[in-house]
Amino acid sequence: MNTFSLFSRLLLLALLPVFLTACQQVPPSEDIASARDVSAVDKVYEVRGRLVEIRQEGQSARIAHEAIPGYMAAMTMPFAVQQPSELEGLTSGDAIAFRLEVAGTSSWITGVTRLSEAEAARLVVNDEPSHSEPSDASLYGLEATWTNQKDQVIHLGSLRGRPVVLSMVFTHCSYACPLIVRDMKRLGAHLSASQQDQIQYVLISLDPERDTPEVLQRFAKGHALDEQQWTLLRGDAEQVRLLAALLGIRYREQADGQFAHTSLITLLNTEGEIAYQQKGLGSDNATATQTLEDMLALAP
Amino acid sequence: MKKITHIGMLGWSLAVCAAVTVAAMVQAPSPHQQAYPEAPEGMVYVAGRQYQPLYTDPSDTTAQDVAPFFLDRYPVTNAAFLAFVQENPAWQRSQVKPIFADEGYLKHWRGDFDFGPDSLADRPVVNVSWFAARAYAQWKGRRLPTTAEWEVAAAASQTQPGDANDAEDRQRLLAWYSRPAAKTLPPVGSTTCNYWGVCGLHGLVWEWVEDFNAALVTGESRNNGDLDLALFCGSSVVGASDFEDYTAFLRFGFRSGLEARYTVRTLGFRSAADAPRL
Repeated sequence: MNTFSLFSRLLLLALLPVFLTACQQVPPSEDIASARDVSAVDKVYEVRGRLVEIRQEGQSARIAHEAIPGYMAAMTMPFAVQQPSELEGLTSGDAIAFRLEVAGTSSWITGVTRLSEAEAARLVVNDEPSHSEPSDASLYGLEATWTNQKDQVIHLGSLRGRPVVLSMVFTHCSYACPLIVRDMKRLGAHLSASQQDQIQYVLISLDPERDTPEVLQRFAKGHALDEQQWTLLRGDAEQVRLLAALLGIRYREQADGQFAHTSLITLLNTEGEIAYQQKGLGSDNATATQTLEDMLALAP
Repeated sequence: MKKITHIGMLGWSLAVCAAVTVAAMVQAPSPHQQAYPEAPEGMVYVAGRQYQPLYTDPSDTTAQDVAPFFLDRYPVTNAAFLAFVQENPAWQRSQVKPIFADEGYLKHWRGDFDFGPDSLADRPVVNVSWFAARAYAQWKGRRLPTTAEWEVAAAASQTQPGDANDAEDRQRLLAWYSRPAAKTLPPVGSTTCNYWGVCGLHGLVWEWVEDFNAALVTGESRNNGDLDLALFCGSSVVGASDFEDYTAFLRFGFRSGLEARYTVRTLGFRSAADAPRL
């Protein structure tokens, strides 16, 4: 055999691995694990309730559920569904039992089963009229749950039915936030006692790490915030960012732990829709007060 | 005769070899990537580094420690976003809630499930709000990058991980930022990629970040909650930490004018994810 020919054949042979490598597919990498980390579940509850509506093709279900002892009062709210297929065959009005799994501030339901007629008859839920779905503009459609100053789990939907005066603050803020609280109190100052009783004041912490329920409770006491009317909430960083984005509040944590933030008081109507927003500190509150009065006049 | 044939064969095989090797090099991850944790599909690894936020209290010189992360190689495309909308019909143009997106949402699309001619498939999707971008990222099991992460990735030139954008680089970037936006955005694959393999960070579209609403100018007092909406004028504003990177100012200014439901013809996004430290 001609040596040249042999050489070229050997060359081709030697180059074969190069050809093969070039054509090889990069092995697909694992996608990032879903946010529902089942290994992080720290609480599991057996719950019963009435299915109100299935949404997002089974990924979310609105349920009027019974009280969950030690965790949440009876209410109607949306839940994330672990396996949408579990809702197959169920319709609005069905009485169901399910397992609520909680991992930190995330939660979802699983193990959904239909209740018997006898069990359904024994359900104790907050009955809501059928047109109770939060409107498109309502903040009460958010699934996230929050913890209040009494360390109870709250869904924003529980504020429904009363006008809300709301702001986002942090408790160790020594300048703006006490002034915001003062401005919030001022909004109801001219109203009658019975009107004032109807208003819900809500403070949501921009600093959930430091503003634990105990810290929130101390702040409430320090500012003489009646626990019947004032709800102080903390949630995880993501939902705080989301709520701020919905309200138009800008904020940033600085290196020393203080927060630069917009001073903004928001009025929500009984349906959780933004009715009016008052910017700044010590601002003229004529429009805000008028809006509040109008909402109280409309409230049942 | 025989010799010529063999030379021809040799020449041919060498040519093929060269072509294939070049192809292999282009497709293989950059040499830096091979030393890092394997990234999820379509993403690359960006090493952690320090980031100096643009506006801080004058006495605050602490740089932020940014942990390593994964970042999408390219901005999200029309085709990718369509797949998301098809599986999440609440995000259809005709169904989206006004609190989550303004009237310009996906206005460049032909219909709820139609982004137009196939040629638009690999263009960056724009006219999406922060809520929509976030929902897409969450659907993929990912998230939006933070400002710090985005800026860390953007600090890399083609050959250096960061702090190496010399005067020439900055001039080039500035030139892009000062040009009016192209009527039709180019395909994401046509953009230049940096040291990490992240492509099109400059010169394509503005991009949403998770904490876009952290862009606000602080007052003098640390506890001053008043938002000072005074227009910034580049490096002459008190508190600016880096006077030379003007494009960073432009991005800061752009972000501070955004609201979460806004959609803009030149604003898209890409997703990020946590990465293990080495």
